[in-house]
Amino acid sequence: MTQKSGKTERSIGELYRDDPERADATAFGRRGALNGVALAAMGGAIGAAIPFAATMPAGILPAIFARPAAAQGTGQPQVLRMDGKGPLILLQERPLVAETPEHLLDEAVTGYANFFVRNNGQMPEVPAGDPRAWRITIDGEVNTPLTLTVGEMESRFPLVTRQLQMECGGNGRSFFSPQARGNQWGNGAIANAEWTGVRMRDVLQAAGVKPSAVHTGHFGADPHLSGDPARHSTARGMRIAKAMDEDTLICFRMNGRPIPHVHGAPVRLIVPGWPGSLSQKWLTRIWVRDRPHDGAGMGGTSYRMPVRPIVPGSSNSGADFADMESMPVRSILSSHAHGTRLPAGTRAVDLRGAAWAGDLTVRAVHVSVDFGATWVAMQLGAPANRHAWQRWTGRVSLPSDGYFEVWYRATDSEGRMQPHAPANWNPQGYGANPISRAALLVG
Amino acid sequence: MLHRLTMGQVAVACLLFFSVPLIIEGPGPHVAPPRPALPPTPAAVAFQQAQAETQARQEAARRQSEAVQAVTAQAEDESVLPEGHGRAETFGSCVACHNTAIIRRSRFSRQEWDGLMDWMTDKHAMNPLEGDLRQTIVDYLATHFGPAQAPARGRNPFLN
Repeated sequence: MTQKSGKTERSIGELYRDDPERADATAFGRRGALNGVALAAMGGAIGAAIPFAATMPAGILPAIFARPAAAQGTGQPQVLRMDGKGPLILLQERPLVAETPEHLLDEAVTGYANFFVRNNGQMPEVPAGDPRAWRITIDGEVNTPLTLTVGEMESRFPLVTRQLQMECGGNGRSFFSPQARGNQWGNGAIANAEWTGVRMRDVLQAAGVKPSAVHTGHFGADPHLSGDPARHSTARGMRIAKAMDEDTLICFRMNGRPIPHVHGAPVRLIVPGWPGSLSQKWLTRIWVRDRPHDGAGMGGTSYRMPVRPIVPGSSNSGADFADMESMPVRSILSSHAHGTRLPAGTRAVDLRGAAWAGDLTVRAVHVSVDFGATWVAMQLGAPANRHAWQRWTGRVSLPSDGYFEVWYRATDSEGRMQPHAPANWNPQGYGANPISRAALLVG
Repeated sequence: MLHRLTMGQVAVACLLFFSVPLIIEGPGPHVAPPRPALPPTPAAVAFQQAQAETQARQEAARRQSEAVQAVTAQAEDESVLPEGHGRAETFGSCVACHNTAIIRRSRFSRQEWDGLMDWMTDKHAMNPLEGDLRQTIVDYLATHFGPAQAPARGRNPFLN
């Protein structure tokens, strides 16, 4: 995309954010149904005819201008250039934060190159000596506090290997309007790798969990951003029931190999389906608590959602919010990058992607290419195991050349669908999971 | 009597007995006949493998760490932010903890930027920012990274 069109994107995006109907009128001369001069204007701006213009809703910015990665910031999205990593979207250099574009999530099992990066603090030093000698302490509300090396854990408890989806709590944040504070993720803060480790519950049971245990607190070796050794970069925790889930693992290997340093070597937690910040990297300690944990990243508005909706854009202490637990249903399209151009005459497109729903499963994925007027059910695979994402495939027909938007929407096992607009706005922008749109141009 | 000999005495006897051929052979240079190399024991193989794995892991970790350093150490100077009063103060204060990417992607009102200063102190151990410096920085951020424009039909009447 040229620099010129990059500028167009931003100004049109701002116009739609502030007053969508007026934007329709201003940008495209549109009032009511999209036809005549307005249709020609919008088609002209997009650079193609819009075959399903009749069902194109008023006041909605065409996806080609709306996708957050392109619409955010002062220029084009920056690309991570890092040895061993694919071209991820660089959100922040320090602390290092990088999002995987949806089309790079086309592997059933996410490899190192395409695994998103989220850090709260500085990267710890690579430990000298044998990584199997790394120590983890389990203390607090247990009968016998334990300090175990990685090697001891591997030999003492049953090893478990599972595909587990892990997603940043802020995934989808950029879809909120007004803007919420924090990294402006699209849908790409998700990975589904194959993890090998021991169950946290086996380790906790070896230490003897007291009846007073209600919560965990997790600690890692990554230094706080300020460099202050007295502070933890993040130290989150969860209800003890999730700690005892069979899929909550203390992991040593990712995709059959030692965990890469940037992803928490030599040992990290994987707490699938709940906010990724619980999956503590460079794990050093699990503190079993007799009350909700109060470490860095707990309380207030951190990883917490309003119980009763608040006015979007308002400030709030979060005192009445509840901790975010199982993540909401979401889908991605991995076969076609947003903005893909297909040869003239293309009349059918084979699509594929993935969908997941926190602790639940996904019941259905539907796709629309006519702005939501009609929906086509996709074929949805079973998860490789509980807490793995599900892959979907399917074919859509296109009536002619022109501009199309692929709208994709998942429904969870309890019948909840991705909404048309993100709901339950909150200051730190958790839980935005609206239907996603990718622009396709045929011809 | 033999059964009364201690193990030590037996050992000394054996040593003397087996030393005899050496003594007979004399002090000349002794060249051992070439022996076929014995395969390493399973334990030795496992030990070597474990050592090689550990080394490979550490080297991989070092390479990854260097790759991360190469990204995080990319130096910025204040010209990455738009010109204006307060740019130097803003750049200097913010990059103590994070680089400017997150600022450049943000669009907040003055009130929201002001609230962020307290939030960063509460949640992220930032030194409290007060007085003129705080005003300079918040003004700069609100001016250059404020909401794009006022809503055409007025602001939300329920906004606090």
